[in-house]
Amino acid sequence: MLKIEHLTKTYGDKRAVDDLSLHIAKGEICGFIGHNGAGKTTAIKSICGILRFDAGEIYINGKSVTKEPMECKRRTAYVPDNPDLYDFLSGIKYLNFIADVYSIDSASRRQRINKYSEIFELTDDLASLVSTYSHGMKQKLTLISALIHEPDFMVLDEPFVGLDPKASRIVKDIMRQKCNNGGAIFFSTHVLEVAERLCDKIAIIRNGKLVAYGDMDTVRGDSSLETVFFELDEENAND
Amino acid sequence: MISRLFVLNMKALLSGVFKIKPAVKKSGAGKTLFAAVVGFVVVTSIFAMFIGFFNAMLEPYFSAGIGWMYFAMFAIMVFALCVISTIFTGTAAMFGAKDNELLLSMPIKPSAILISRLLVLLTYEYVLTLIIASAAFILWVEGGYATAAGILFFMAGVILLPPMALSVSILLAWVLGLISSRLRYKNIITLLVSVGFLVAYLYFYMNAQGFIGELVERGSELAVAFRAAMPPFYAFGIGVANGNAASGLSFILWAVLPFTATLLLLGANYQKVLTSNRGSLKIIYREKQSRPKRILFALTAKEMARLWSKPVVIMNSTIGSIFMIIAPMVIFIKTDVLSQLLNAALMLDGASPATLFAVMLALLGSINSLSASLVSLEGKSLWIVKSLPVSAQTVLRSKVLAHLLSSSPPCLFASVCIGVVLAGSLPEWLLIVIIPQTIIALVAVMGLALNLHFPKLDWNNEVYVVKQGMSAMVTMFGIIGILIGLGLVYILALTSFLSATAYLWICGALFCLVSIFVYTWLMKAGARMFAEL
Repeated sequence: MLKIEHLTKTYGDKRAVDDLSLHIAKGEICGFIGHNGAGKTTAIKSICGILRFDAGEIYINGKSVTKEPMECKRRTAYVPDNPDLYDFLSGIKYLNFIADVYSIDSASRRQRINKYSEIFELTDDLASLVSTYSHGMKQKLTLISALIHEPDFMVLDEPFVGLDPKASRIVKDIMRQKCNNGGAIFFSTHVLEVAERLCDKIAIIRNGKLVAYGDMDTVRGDSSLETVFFELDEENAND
Repeated sequence: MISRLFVLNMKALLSGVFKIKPAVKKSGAGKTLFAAVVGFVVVTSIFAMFIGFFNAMLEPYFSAGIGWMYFAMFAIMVFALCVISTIFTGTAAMFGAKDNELLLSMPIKPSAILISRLLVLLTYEYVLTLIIASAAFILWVEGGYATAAGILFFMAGVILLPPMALSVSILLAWVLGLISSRLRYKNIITLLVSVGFLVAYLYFYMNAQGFIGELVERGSELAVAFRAAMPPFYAFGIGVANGNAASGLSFILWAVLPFTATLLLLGANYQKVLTSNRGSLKIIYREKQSRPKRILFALTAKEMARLWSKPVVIMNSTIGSIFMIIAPMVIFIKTDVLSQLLNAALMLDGASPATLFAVMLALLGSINSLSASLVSLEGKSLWIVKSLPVSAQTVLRSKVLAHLLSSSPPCLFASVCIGVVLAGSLPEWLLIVIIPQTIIALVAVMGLALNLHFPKLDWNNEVYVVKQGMSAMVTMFGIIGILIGLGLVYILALTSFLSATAYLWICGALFCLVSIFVYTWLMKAGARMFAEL
């Protein structure tokens, strides 16, 4: 579903992402972990076609992000780390706007908006302006808008930040369900326990470089993901 | 601490003009120089406008023995412009700043936050006041009417008028915020109040000459009325013109007392005002059938929703449209205005009334600078359109369309109303309808192209983009400059070769060609620039 080949992105002299390559197959959830400033968000924004990169290539379901960006975006959903939405729209108008852009017919959008706003307990607030929403409510609205076009592939940047325990659980269930139905998920998180429990694959990035990547069991071995993360951290710091 | 907060707030204010792209340094010097040139042109234009205004008043007032009126008018002008220009900025900076809670959580006294924010607004008002005061002062001294005591009181006025105006605008902003916080259509109410202020100011400005003429005829009687209606401005006028110490001191009290009271009142309640949550009106969602829109229309509707939700955007970016709706109504109601305009047209060689109205509507269309802010207004939510399956061309097209939708229908309304009143021929109708639309199209594409060159995405409040944004200023003053330039070319060199009507058609055709060229650029290089943001 996702294939990244030698992705490199620089800001001035700084290599934010340096020769990153990884592959996620259908049905897989891949966790993306690393320090603050390691290059996670840059890589994620490059995958979603928000940022242009300097070298390498990204394929989503075999389509190049640079050559066929619209095709890739149609199949992908992106949830950013900070839900800066259109605060001048009401929740329902925002969802309808997203549905319009994905050309979703009336019946389908109605059914999906009802379904997900019920699940996330946001139905009563849909008529209110986004500017009146709390951080968690904005995060829920972002998630609903990401699910509205039933994407095959979801890219989520810190999706659990600001969510209450119930909503976090719902998101995890949806992620697993998506993968069971043949989709794939790539998400970043700082909560290693969540990554350990949820992911089939794990990618650890440090200073823009991939320092560990593979199946969860292979990367983790007999220890915990936390132990591996700090061991790698020490190794790379010594290098 | 106050000075640090002041510097921080000034940086935020000025970054709307000078900070182009945070990550790009290579072209910083050139663009800063360009910003300085634009700033100089803007200041010079305002200065020239006020020189003209005060020049028309100086001799009649002083020769009629009512020199105090010259200064009273100066004070009213400064006061009104300061109130109008800071009422929204005041609301945004004082009560709606996004870093209020962050600053309150730090070991900073709320009074320090308040004073630092007031100082920023005062700086803004002092710049405006100095420009106006320079014009009034130079003419006054050159006319030989100045006295030492008068100069002293005039200086006191320059120092005290901005805080006096600020106390009014801050209190108005506060009260307006309290009243509208639980109203459903608070944007419309805020907009109506703002338009009301503006219309009242313009009414006063337009009728000032008539009022003054009456004053000259019935001097003492109306002076008493003026004194009763506007005592601080009367006191200022008498204080400066006659060097009257009692009046001068009276004015100082009129200025100092309200400002001190506002400062004390706000100082005691600032934290409470910032942290009290009156809550917005809760609207329970009731499911409605939604009609799917095409992508371009969905994006355009989103831009229009943004415009309608922010009175500050409407007042700063589509003010021409408001005038285009009000102007025909004034012409219908006050028929003497129409006859004055028709007489003015007759005085211009070769210009028909239709030509004059076409030019007037074109000027009104040119002050709508919405497209020059639409890229910047995406702000931190830019990721949405960039992550959606929408091409940059479609996004830019929707922004052009939003500008056209905000300007073209009001202009068409004004054109049709004026066409009906004039009962003109078909060519005259076409002139009044088409020429203003060509300038609107030009502003739509030029403004957007300029905003791609001068984007400002890290703003905390829209006012920094629509009011102080480089692209908005360059677009508005640039287009007005082009129109004035074209007018001068005609008056100085072409009157004997071309009729004004023919010249307007040539200009209209030129605007169309340039618009097509810039639109083509937007769809190619402009789209690439948008993708790079």
